[in-house]
Amino acid sequence: MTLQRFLVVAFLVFVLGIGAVYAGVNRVPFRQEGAHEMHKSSLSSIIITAYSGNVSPLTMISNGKA
Amino acid sequence: MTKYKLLSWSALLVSVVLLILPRIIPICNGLMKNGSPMSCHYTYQAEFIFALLAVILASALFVLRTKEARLLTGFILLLLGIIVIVLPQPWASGICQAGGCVKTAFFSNIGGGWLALSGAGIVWLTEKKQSK
Repeated sequence: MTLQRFLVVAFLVFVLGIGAVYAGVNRVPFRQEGAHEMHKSSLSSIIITAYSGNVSPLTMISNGKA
Repeated sequence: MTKYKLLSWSALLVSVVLLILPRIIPICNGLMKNGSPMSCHYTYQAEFIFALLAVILASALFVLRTKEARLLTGFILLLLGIIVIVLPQPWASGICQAGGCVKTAFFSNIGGGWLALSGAGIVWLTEKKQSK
């Protein structure tokens, strides 16, 4: 095989591999229901709500409403 | 079969194994509470791309004829093997503290070490031939 032909094949293999990453073929599909017990986020839900919205966590804690 | 061919085949084999490793020994497939994937997902996406590069470089060893090109390819394979070992470390990309990905990381470290040794072997063999 000539080097030029190899480069073409290698590029095609690379593009195919990137396509596999994009399509998620290279890994086991995600479990949709429920979070893994060992891997729950360290952030509490009140802080996540505060950071995703525009509400200050201090205000929410002092009001006692989440 | 020459030693060079043997090392090239071994590098190609281990690269292919690294490529499909998360399929054989799955990493954590659950999502975090906020819906995002765990750190091991990102680590093994990166490992896949590096393994893909390793497959291409290892197959290039059968096509390349000049000693400089073989030396450089072997050296890059050595570096890729080190990257494969470094990526799951907590100070790099990291994996989960406990979960299926710890087992995957164990085997990917072995594979990375093997790839690095094959690369080093190719460099050493080519260097030896060049100095003769």
